[in-house]
Amino acid sequence: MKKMTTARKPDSSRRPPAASNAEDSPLPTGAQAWSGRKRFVVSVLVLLHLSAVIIAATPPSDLAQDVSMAFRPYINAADLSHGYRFFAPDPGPSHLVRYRLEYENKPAEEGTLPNLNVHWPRLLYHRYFMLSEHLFDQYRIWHEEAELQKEIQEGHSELELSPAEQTVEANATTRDESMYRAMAQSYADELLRRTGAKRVSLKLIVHAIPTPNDVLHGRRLDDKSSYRAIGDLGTFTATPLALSSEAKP
Amino acid sequence: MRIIVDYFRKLYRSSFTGWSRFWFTPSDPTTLCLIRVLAGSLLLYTHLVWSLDLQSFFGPKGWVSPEALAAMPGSRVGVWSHLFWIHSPTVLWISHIAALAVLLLFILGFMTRVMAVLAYLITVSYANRLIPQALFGLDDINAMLSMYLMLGPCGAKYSIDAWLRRRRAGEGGPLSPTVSANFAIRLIQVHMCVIYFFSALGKLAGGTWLGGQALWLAAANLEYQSVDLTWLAGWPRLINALTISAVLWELFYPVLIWPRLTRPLMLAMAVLVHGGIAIFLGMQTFGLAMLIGNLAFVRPDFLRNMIERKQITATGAGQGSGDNSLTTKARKHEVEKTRQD
Repeated sequence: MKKMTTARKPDSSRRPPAASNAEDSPLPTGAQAWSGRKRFVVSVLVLLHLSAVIIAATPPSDLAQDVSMAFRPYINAADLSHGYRFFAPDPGPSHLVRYRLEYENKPAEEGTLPNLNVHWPRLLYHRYFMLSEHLFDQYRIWHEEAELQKEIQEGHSELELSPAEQTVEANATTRDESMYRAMAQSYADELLRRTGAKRVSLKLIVHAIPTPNDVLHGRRLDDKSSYRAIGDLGTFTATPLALSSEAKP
Repeated sequence: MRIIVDYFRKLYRSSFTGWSRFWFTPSDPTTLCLIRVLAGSLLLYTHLVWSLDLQSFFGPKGWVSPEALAAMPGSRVGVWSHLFWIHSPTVLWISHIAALAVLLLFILGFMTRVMAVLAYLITVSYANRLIPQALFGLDDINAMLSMYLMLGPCGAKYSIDAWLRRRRAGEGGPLSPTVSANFAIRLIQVHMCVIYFFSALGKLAGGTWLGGQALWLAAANLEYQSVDLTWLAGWPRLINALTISAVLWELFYPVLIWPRLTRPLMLAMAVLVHGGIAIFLGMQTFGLAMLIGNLAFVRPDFLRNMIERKQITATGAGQGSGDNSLTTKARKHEVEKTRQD
């Protein structure tokens, strides 16, 4: 076995030394090694980069949020903003967007996002699936805020909020509502552009997962009773403003 | 007092040496080059699929209009995408076809260092144009792999660049180990550990993973399912065992992937878990992406022997051209030498 020497130049005609795996090798010296200054600079950059990766994935706490503010431009620019929560905290039911398109001169049509029969290949189907899940997430956030706001206004809330805190809560509800409405409007606009329909109604549907016991007793995964409407997002026209977008949770 | 000082001095020295050895030891670029071919293929496929609905996802209006994007929560400081500047469908298509060409050249390994940087920029740019929640695990891994591939000599082998270099220099042997090859692989390895650790942490926050029901909830989800797994309903203990094994595997991956003794077991489990996700839950691309990430833990000499022995067998059966025969001779020589070592 040849020993890695300090003076050897990289030579592409030679096979790599036996210690070609980093974990086997001695500390590098000579032509192949990086200088001390380069190693120092790279080490600092590695530490900063890995800190950004970890902070971006860390569950939200006041500390994590404060630290992440410093790293945010880098995290966003390098696309590191991932939580890596695959099927976490719990795999849940699917959320679908059911739409009804109304035309001037032909009967109305209904459809669902995502739809395995239409969206092919599977990767494209997953893109649509994520779109519907995202709209549900936005709707859920607003709906929970709105319910809390209602309790506060009716005096049923267990939270004792000062007038200033109540204003903050009210503002949060308004902001969350505008977010989900903007998203719903965007989906509606795209459906109208694609189909040439006059208007479209959107509904959020939850598809519940049966228990093993249900399945053993003959219940199918596509049983009609397992689909339930959870939010009427309203009816939208092709104009930027919806005809009627009063959400009915 | 002296004991404490000695301890910290020793700690500092061993940490410094360990850090240097971990990051800055030269290594064979075979693993990195193979990851380039596989991850590049996945990147190309990902972007080819965007072609089927390009205007709807990346057009000036589309499913997620810039107005809807602007209303999204969270800081968007630093978020960039060349697609924000494209308002014409024709320009969008030209830009998209150019992106596909770059990704193809990246797989083939032509001007690889330049293509690697462009491939990363393309990946991030497409991801940033969409809302993060419209993306999924595949996009996380695509971004991660493309980022680290551009930092190492990922075109040193299995590439047009390597073929051109051999033709120019008349050489058939492999390249010397390089620090940057090791550096890029180390970054992938550490990032994979971060991914599994936080994935496990997220699962522990729920009740169904340690409770043993999560696998059922994933398998019985019709929107994910690609193979019917409802027969599992009759095997509740098996569901429990598989669920708990999966979360424990993720939790201990960052530790047990490093010792040589446990690494093959962790990688075998990765094949089972991600292969299962690919086959049964309809996420072939995500399953493959995770397996490609895990490839960073496979020793380059193992891969080199496996790939190049296969090539010799294939070309030895009379399928090679004249040029290939010359290359095969050199490869045979290399494999023989590797065997001797």
